[in-house]
Amino acid sequence: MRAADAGPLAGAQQPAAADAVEMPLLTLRRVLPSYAIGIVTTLAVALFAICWGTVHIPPQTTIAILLGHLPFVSTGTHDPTYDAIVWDVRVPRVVLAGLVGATLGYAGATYQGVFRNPLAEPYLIGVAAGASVGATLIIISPLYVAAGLLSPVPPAAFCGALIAVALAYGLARAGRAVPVTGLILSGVAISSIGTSVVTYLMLTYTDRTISILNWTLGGFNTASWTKSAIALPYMVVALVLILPFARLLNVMQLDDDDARQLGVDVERVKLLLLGLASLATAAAVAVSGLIGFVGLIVPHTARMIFGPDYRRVLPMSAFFGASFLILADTLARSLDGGREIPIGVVTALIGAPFFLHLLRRYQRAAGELRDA
Amino acid sequence: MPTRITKIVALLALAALTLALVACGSGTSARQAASPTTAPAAAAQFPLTLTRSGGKTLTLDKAPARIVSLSPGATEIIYAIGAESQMVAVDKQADYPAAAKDFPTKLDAYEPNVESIAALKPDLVFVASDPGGLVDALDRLQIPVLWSDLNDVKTVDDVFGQITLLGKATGRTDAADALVASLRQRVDAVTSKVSDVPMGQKSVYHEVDSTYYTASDGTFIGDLYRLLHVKNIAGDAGGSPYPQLTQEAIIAANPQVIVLADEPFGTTVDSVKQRAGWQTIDAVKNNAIFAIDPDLASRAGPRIVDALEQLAKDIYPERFQ
Repeated sequence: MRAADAGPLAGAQQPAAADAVEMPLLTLRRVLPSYAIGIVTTLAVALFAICWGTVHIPPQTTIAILLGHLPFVSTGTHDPTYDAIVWDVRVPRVVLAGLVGATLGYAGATYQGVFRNPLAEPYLIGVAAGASVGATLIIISPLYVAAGLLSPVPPAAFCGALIAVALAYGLARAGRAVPVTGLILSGVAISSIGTSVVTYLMLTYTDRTISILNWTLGGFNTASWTKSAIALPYMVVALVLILPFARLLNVMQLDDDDARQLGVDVERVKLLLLGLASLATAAAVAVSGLIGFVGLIVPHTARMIFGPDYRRVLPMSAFFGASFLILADTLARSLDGGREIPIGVVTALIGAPFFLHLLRRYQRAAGELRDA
Repeated sequence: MPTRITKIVALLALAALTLALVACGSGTSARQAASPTTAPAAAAQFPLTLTRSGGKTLTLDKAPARIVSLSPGATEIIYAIGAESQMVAVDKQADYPAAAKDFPTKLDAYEPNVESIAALKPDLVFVASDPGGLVDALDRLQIPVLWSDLNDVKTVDDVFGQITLLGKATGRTDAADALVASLRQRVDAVTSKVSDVPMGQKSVYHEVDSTYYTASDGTFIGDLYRLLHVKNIAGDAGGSPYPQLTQEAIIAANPQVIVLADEPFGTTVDSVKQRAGWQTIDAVKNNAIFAIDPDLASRAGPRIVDALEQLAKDIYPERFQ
């Protein structure tokens, strides 16, 4: 019905839509080199981060310790303190930062694609606020156990995030369609409510203020293998399931109607993609707290370097997100002696100038192209 | 730039901390002088001019009879010097001594409501921090407010200074002096037993929060360890009184003692032992992990000496039988 109504107009745009799907013609062979760059960069950054810290351990010792933990490899015995620092503290931290960074970057790219809005980011429609409320409610309750496997904070944050997104989505729904503007607005409203609740609770339960504040600031100081293991399945499932929709995201950038013409139920796809991205983000937030900025700038960076095709933007956002957050966390734990700097401060202070630099170069190039 | 923000966060943390102290009070030895019937003595001390945090002065014409104490530490001091009959309200965190816990009028020190403070017609409001311009607001209403910021209380001596200050402000200098003298005696009794311990023979990690916030040398918690000749692995922290340490820094520093001020918030000796990578730390290997009531160690009140005595027994069991 809709497609028929939009007939003439959609018809006029059809070549553009066809271009978006066909023109880049990214075959696997053409995509693979950029994937390889992403993988190698991420691994190199991770290795550097594991070797770097306030406690100076020679890189060869660090690598020997790393190899020694592989099955069937023996590299002799090492100073148990070094071993503990490398294997129990640094590696889990780097792994978790990488997973969370990849998820935020990837989810950010998905959100920006679905909303067709460059300001969209993974916290936009309530994930962050919902997770904060969930975490805060546990922190102020007698159930609160600060850390460890049995801590109820990550599941509570996870549930809070999903409830908030479901609310935002439900409130924005108009019949079968979910207008994008409505969803953003209801997300913002839900987020405001959540933020107020958290602020109120923080000031009321003053003996827990520091714990709540610390959670909302986010970070990887308490990273563990367990946390990575808890979050990994959600992240992998979401990442793998979203990727096949990359081509469709390309089409949706032009107009929903173009996508509908391809016989796609756009509303359902949007719901699915947002649901998957939110699920992964919720898992990330649950184990790391709120880390801003990554989900916003990483996809743009990927787009500026590798072009607008979502078949590249999505995976590259994951690799860049991982590399960026691992680097940011390395700075957070090593810039100020043995003391932590909140990671959000680092992501904004280091990430923003880099992003602005990229943006200027990109716009200058675009300007020259126009003038020519 | 990061340091500045770290500072802000640390200040927030400090604010949270001071609040946290209040949370769980329960009986340790009460040391209160005087009976509530004692009238404000030594009227000759007034009028009296005191310097506040922030630089302004406060002049009191006579001993206040309607004090509002917005600091749980100050409330403990006011009870200990027998000035509680001059007090009309305490803050919500006040829970020691028992009478303070059951005090009929309690106000919120974190989001103080100027109206409800003014309604009590106080002739002295004591605050240990100035959230949201409270001091200015009270000044405009010409309500005498004594602001002695907790951030400036950096040593055990500074805590005694708070006692002396409140003694003057309440007109109970004799009781305050006697209290300080007895507290000093107890401090000396402890320090004399550790005077021959080389400074830093043992080192300590004092945990304020399970995400590894700790107290630096620049706090009265840090001063407790200095008095005990124990090296605090947080050091002077370069300006932030309550820094957050990285796990690798803690493991590498290898403290011989771990003190948990976050036991009421779910951290236990066992949970510390189970932290990945911590098994190499001497304190974990030798079972030298102790919990301390956060109210004792982090309120600027008379019970700071209780904290000192407990830490001395925990850290040097052989010297304090």
